Amino acid sequence: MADLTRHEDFSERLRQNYARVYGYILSLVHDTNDAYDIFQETALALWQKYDDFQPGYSFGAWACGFARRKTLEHLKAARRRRDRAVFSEELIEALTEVQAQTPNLLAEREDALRHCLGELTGRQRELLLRCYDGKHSVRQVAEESGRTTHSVYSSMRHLRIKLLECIDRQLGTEGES
Amino acid sequence: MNRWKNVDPEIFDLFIAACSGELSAEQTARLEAALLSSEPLRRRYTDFCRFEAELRLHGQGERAIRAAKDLLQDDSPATPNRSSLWLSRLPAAIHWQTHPARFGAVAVLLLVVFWAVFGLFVWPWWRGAGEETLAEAPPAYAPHVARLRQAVDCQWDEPKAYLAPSIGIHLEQGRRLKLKQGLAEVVLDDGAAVILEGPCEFAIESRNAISLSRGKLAATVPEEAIGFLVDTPFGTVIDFGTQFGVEVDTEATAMAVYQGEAGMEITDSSGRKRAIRLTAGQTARADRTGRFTTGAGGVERLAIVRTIPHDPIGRSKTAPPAAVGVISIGNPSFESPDQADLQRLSDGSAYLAGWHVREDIGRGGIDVYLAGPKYSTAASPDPTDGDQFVVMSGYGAEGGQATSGAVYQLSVVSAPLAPNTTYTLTFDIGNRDTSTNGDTTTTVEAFFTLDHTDVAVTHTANAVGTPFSMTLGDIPRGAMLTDRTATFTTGSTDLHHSLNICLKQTSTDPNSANWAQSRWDNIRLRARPASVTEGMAP
Repeated sequence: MADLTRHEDFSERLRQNYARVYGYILSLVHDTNDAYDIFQETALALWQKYDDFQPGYSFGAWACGFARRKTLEHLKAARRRRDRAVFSEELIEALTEVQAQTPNLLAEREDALRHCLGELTGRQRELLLRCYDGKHSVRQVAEESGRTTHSVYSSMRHLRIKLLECIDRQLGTEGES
Repeated sequence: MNRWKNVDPEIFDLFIAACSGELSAEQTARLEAALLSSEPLRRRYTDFCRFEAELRLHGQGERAIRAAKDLLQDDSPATPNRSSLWLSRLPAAIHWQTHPARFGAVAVLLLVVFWAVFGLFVWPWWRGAGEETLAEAPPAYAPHVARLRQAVDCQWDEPKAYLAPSIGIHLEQGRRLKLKQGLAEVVLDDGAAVILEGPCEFAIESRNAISLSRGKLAATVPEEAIGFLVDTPFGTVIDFGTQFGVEVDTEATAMAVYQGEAGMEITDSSGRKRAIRLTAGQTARADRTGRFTTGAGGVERLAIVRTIPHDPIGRSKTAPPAAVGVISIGNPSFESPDQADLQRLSDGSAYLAGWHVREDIGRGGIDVYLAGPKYSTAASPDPTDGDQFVVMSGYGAEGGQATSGAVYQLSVVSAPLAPNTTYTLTFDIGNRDTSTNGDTTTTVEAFFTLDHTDVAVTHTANAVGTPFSMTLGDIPRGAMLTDRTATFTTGSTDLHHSLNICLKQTSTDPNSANWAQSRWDNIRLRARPASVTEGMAP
């Protein structure tokens, strides 16, 4: 069952690095559908090339290299079609550079997020996870709770900042520029 | 320094829109320009996108993982939900255990399923969600980082009277102020005390920095605030633990050090940065050409006011003392503010002109926000009133604990209160609508605090520690509660500069899914000195 172990390794690495890779793609294409497609293509390509991956190297960095190529192909096509505004190549490169310098901190970030979600009140957590559960739109959440969309949006914005600050504190990155 | 609160709110909204796939062409261009101009901002943006991905994985990941795992363990088609559509199209995947040689291809398919399930649930919603959120996104808040401690004979250049800062009020980061005349003392959160002399124009830049574009200031900087900055058009004054003065006119920035040490940094005409350090008794001047001159002595020639004469009631030397009817609440009926009037607050997500909100008090919290006709048709109890009102909406909490929220105004007085005086306060409030779900009960109280008591802080711990409060009881839907009165007496030595009011609503219900919502309007307060206690006249 060597294949099973290999698959498990791959799945686990991909899961661990999901946020880094997907977040990177999303930052470049700022379109959730496109980001989803590119991520799938990237995952497929990674699996096909998984033999080339050398244990000991950063899977995340390796995966982001693939993601970058797939994203550039995609954006090139989008520019040709002129169907929506996309970032310039200059900005894509600048964002890629920042991304490459970002520490991986996979386990630490997972722990930090869990800790920070725990710092929210039960009601805040419920609202947040409801909005991210994929079943409810902000409007639906608002309607169900007798609130306005505006109010839910505001609360979500407030919670995002609260969590981001908390994560920074947990990781000791709050003083960074 | 907090790197998220410092992001320009407009840019932060662009971040949210980008990660929701909702950037317009014009917004894309704006975000691109901002990102290209700042490497730290690019880092924040990258971190933000990763954070969004992490949250989605948190909200979705387990379900998606479970679906994939079910598939590995179960030969039968998956349970009848949307994901089964995908699963049932993948017979090879279901039988992978009997065909190990095909595993590689199967694994890829599993991954596709994994993310397809993820995507089926997440993205369709997210695509739809942004349309309304963007359109109604409020301006973001700025944290409060300073406070107006004293004001003597101040005339502020504010078009709306209730937006002019009064003594004790918090000032948010980025607040720009024009003082037409008078002396004002602003204390920044890190400890620097700054006396500003009108006419002057200044802005609160951070908890340890101020900018002065015109006029004079004197700063006294305690040890904990060393590093305090005064940014001016012709140079930046840097404190090293000291007392110093700064004057800015159209030609130059001049500074004088009274105690300790301070420095100035300028960028000269060739673009080079130059800095000098001064000790007590020295002066420096940087002009618009980038020329730098320093001198010894002559600090008094700048003629900067360094202290505000102690006046325990902060009374204006020209205005008459507090008199009947001086207490008033700004924007009592929550009427529609201009965008420019909106308060930018650190402690909540509502933006009420002249009002502050506190959403989380004790366990859980109540949402407090400004609402108007597009949200409700609730009738106003006062036919002369406009369309807008304040909503307090809360849920029950686990364990039956109460949740509370508050709306409050700091410094509602328009003139200082007199010492040793008993005031009668008369309070009105209108209930536009109340609705509940389940057994939720709601109580409403009005609190009054004096001076610099921080209403938000006081009520965070559910501590009453205030001069007095009144429980408003049951106010019928559509009715005005009028002429509820209370009295309080000021002391002789306290700094009774100001009166603050806080309306607090608490909901109780053991079921966290239940909620109560009230819509309040026309919160009015009148004050009248009832008597003067022995020995002192107001």
